[in-house]
Amino acid sequence: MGYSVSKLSSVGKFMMLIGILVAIPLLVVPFDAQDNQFAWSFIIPASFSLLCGFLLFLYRKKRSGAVENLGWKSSMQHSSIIVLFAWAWGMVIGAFPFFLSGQLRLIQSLFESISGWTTTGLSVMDTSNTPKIFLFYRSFMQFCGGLGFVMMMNMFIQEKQSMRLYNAEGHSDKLLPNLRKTTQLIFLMYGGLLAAGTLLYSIVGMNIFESLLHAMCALSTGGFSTRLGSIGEYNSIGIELVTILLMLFGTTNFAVLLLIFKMKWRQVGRVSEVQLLLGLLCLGIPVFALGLLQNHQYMGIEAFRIAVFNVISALSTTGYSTIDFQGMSPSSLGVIILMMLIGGGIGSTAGGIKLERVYIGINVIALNFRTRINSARSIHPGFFYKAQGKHMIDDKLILETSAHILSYLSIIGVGTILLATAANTNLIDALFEFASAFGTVGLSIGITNPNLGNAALLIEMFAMVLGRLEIFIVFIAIHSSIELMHLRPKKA
Amino acid sequence: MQIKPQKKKSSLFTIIIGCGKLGASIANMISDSGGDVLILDKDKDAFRRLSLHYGGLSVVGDALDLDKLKEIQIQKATTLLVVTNDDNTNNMVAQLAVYQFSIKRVIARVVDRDKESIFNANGIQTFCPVSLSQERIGQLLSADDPVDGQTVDTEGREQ
Repeated sequence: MGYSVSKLSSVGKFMMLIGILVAIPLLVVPFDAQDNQFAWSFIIPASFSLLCGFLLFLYRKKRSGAVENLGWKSSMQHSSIIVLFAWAWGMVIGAFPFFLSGQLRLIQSLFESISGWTTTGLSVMDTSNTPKIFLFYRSFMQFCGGLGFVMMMNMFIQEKQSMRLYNAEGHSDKLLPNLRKTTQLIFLMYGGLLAAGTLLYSIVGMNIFESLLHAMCALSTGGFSTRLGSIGEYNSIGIELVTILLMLFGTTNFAVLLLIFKMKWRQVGRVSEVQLLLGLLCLGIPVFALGLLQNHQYMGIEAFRIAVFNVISALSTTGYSTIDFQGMSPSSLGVIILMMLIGGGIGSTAGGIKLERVYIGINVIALNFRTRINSARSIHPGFFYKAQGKHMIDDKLILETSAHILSYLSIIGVGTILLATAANTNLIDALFEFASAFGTVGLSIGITNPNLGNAALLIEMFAMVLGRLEIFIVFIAIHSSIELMHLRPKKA
Repeated sequence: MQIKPQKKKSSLFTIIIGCGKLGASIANMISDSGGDVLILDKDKDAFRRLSLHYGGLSVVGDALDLDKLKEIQIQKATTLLVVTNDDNTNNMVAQLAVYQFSIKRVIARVVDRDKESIFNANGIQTFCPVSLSQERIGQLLSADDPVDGQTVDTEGREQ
């Protein structure tokens, strides 16, 4: 194992945190006596994780004074390894309650757990006869996964390396001049929205339990539902409106969210991501609705209503749906796939390429065009607006962004072919499903169901993990652990 | 380091102008001890001097731009530390802070010792690297019989 002593302590803390999170669904038991029988399937993995974490923590305490001042490269590698390990541990421990209670097979449990933590929302469970405790557990996983383990950890403990881990998990924003206060503020906003969402849902006629669950999943852009037909099963305009509102909040960058709460509308309107989001919705919704009309499935205003909900659900990478995507016209499917690829706001709970990168990408194309038609001596600076202010698009940013977009699209290409082979379907369906898993969306065209084979499940799991942790961190962590393992024998 | 960061009261908010070696190291120190800190520099590359675990804000912008100062909410700062390498900039920003934003504690670096009185006349606390170095060297020189050929342990001596 390539873990040095100094890292074990934070790994131990993450294990304990995950143990606590897995134990939280036990709070449902007092309200629903039937779930008593499942209590042990939560207690065993939770206490195992707590114990392991505690032992590692003690071990580290005994051997304190370990080297903390690592060089730049190794500290970057260490933080990515810790983050990847924390997520992997969470996914494995999170799978046990499903497996131990006999709800799912081993691979299926792992799939459900990964789909939960990564806020994807693809499910191999038959939600019509799942005990309440598991329904709560799935939604709660998404709620926590939306924030990320490091963010949750920062809420309780803050130490020197918090900032490194925070960056490694892909949180790009600092809202306040202090990391701890930033985390607390994000928690406050997230919690406040959850309370508001639950209240709104119950006002428009959902029961409290389902309100809470749906609010958690919509806000984290997760998309697990308590019903088989997702939000569509309610067939209520009120519920759809509340969901749309929560999905939009969930997909908004935390810094922009703060501006919204402060009522600084002019600044909000200036942010490039917000402009792009609105632009995409204005384009995508009519095209999707036209596709529905063309197919003679739905009429007039009905088609428009479906379009608004499902396009927003895809773009925000939530994955609630009100219709079945099978047999839909190519233009509608195309819009949904594109939206899933683009995804939500950077530094929010959403997945996908992210709006900001797409915005920069579009700008780079325009820049390239302008440099071609103008003299070589002229310069064409590009700008974009974040919540914090104006930013220049410099070479470094262009490099990072294009590398990200390129690797995203290559993985989509390779993954689609693999999934089509493994699940034995046509390419369009595979593309839809893979884009959905990779963008942590959760819309399904029907490939992901309780009867799906293990190979296809594994491909989707890998896609979800890559998508949630923003690709590079996973590769960096794997590369670093191999490098460290090679180094170790020499040192000893 | 002699400068003690504010540790207990979390309402203290320090703004540092200029992310040079001094500015960055103070920003790191305050951030490590859990304080609120914001650092401003007009050069984006200057922020590489901040350590990886710096948890405060860093803003690119010209400190002489009044709008920028308003944008970073300079009036909320309890302490302003002006440590750019230009005396004129330091003086102007510090004066703005005192007169325009009425910040209680403004500390500025003065490179040219002759200008120190201009700062002090406006109620700005100052320190001057040349004076400090001179003082220190004087101490070292006056210290009794240093061992030949050995380097003097400058850090440990005072304790």
